[in-house]
Amino acid sequence: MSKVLKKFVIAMLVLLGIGIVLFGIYIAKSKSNLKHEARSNTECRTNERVFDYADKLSDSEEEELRNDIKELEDLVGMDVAIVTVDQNTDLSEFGASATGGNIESNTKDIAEKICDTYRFGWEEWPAGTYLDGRDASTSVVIVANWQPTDRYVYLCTSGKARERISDSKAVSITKYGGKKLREDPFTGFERILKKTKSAMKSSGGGIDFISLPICALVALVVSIIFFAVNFSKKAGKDTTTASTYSKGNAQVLDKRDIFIRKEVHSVKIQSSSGGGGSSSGGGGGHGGGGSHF
Amino acid sequence: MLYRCVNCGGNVVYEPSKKKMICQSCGGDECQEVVPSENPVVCINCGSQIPYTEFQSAGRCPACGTYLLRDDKVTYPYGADVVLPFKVSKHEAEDKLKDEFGKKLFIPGTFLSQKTLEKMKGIYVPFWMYDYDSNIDYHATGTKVRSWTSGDKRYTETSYFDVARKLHVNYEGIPVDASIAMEDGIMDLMEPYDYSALIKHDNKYLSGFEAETYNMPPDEVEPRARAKADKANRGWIREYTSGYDTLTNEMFNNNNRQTGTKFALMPVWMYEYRFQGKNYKFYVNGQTGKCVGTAPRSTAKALGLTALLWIAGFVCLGGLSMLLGVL
Repeated sequence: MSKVLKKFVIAMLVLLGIGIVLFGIYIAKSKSNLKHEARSNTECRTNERVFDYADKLSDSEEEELRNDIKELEDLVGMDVAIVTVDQNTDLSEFGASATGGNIESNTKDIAEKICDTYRFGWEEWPAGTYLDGRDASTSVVIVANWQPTDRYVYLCTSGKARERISDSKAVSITKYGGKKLREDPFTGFERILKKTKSAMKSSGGGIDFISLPICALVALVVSIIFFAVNFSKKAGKDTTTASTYSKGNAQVLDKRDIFIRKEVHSVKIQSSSGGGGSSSGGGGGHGGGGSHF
Repeated sequence: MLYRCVNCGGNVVYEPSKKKMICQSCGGDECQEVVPSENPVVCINCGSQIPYTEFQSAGRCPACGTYLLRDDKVTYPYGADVVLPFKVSKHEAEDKLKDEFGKKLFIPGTFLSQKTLEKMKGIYVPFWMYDYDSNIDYHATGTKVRSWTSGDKRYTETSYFDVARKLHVNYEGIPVDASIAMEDGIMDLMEPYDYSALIKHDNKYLSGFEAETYNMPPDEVEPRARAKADKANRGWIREYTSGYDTLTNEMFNNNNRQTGTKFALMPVWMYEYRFQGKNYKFYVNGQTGKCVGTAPRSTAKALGLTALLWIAGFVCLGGLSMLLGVL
């Protein structure tokens, strides 16, 4: 084996080793992030977790979502609730409304008020400043609002969920689930729960990691470039220039550069405008984000 | 023709590393006498028939290994005017090849092995060298562009010029190989040679190597030299109009008047490697050490190493990506 080949193989084995170590650290870290105490919230006013006010889910789908939520709650240590509303839903008991005004702020308000009314949270609500001298504890409330001309889904976070799921991450989670919510609400909610579970494995903030298929694709593109570069056949470079065989420099017998005309063009510089479509939450114990679907 | 040692009767050859004639038997230097052949294709030493190719002018007797010159191919009208003696020794040429091609990952395992490198041979390749007196007439429309920003606008100013150049250049020794056996494109890539080392031809430099006389007369290959002169002329125009961003409506005329021709022998080391039924030829410029050739590729090795890179890259990138997601 040539020296270069030996070095290459060693480098690949080192890269492989580093990857395996990183995977190991990932497994250890995510297990550690999921450690939690037993549920200590005794003030929660309901055991229900799926509130299908808009009747978008069948009975079996509701049951399946309840089971998924139970599994997620036990794994992560957090209360999770799913709510569907539409223009006919009466939310007066929560002091909220699904209609009138802006769908984004309405849906956010519904999520926060439901969380506050039922006192969702894994731990006992700690002393604080948010509501009645207390802060909200760890929970996620997902509200999907169906209106005649628009639809909006909001993910409200509290406690540890607020630390681990940033507002922008909440927006991306709802965008991901929202792709399916319209034609298949059950699948849409399943997607949101799956992404929420992944997000809760992070300590707080964590970079949205690239999915494994994308990693495989990137590594494949790099490999293809490596193959093409090393497989390319090039006999040699032409290293001659104009002066290689000339005796001295070229002699200039005549040189003419006569100005003809000038043209000036101008273009207005476009300033970039921000995109809209989603709002982020915040304020007083709750965080979150949502998107239209 | 044979260069024989006056001291011991051994074969005297030109040694590039010492730049001298050295006796292969006793090691003496510049101790040769020229022994002409009675029959150019018969070995003076052992009497065997030497299987010269049609244009070969120097070679080695296959029976006794003596280096001989073919008398009728090294004298008028086949004798060279000038020669560039070998400067790079065989050992140095081997090292150059290893430096150039040895680092390639996909080459087969036996490529550049000592056993195969032993077969590398030094050859004097015949070249015609042409001198030209060139006049170039060029006319074009040139533009110079400048841009700047003021307020919320980006301004671009384009100035147009009527550009004309008349140049005169003398070219000396534009080389074109005169061997049918050598690929034209490959010999062109061997350039440039350092002509300061060109000397009046002496047959002694051929002893120890193979050599060919010209296969084609100068008129037959002169168009290739003329094309090189044209290309060089365009290069001069580019150099003398470099201040422009674009040049359009170009009119280029040049006139290359041939003023001289010389027959030269240039040194080349040749290495041949056979892999999967195909012959791969590699050349090392015997003066500058420049290497030319297309290395063989082992497809199985290429795919294996690429797959290894893909797997290692995926595992590392995937692990990093997943870890960042939980931090």
